[in-house]
Amino acid sequence: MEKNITITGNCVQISINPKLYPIEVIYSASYVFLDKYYILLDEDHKKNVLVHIKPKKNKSEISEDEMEALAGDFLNELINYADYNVRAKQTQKIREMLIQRSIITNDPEILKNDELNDEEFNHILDKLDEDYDEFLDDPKEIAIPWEEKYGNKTKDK
Amino acid sequence: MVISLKEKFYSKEAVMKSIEDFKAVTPIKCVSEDGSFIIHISKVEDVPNIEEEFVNYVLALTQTE
Repeated sequence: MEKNITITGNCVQISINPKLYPIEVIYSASYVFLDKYYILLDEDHKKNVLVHIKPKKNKSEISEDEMEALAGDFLNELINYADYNVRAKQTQKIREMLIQRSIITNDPEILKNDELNDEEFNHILDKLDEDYDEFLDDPKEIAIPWEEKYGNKTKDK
Repeated sequence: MVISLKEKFYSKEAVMKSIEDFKAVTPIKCVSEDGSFIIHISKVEDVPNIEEEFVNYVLALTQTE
């Protein structure tokens, strides 16, 4: 068994280094288990976060192997949310840009608001104008109707 | 029964809201001491694990804040 996992009776105690997993990640992982388990967060003398997990079922119904599996599931959930947090931070800017862009596309008047009229928003508006100009360009003459381009010529068989 | 919750992990707003919600079910009292919320909660016949239910409730509120 891992040294950071202790099973006492019907309670699993997991010691978590907060430098590896921020408290937000521990909250998120704990939240997943709230419907089937009682969770208590505490702290040990090394300033590690202690997570006490106790099943809502009676002790007789749960084996030690199941308790170990439970601790493993919790640790997996920690990794899951730690990864989610990292990716959320990495993609924060692009998500904000996408939302701003969708708002501006629907209502360009919003840019008249002084609070929003910053350099970034102007850049997005310029990009939108470029896209619109590109849309109007038709170098391959795709937008010209067939009749207009070729007349009423039909291919003889 | 007495429950000790570290202020570092549980928000004050979540504890206060939980007390408000639970006080309709059972008498409950909270004091702040040495960086912890000390909660005194009375047993309820119909809810055998009321203190643990309370802790779960506070954690859920803290997480969703």
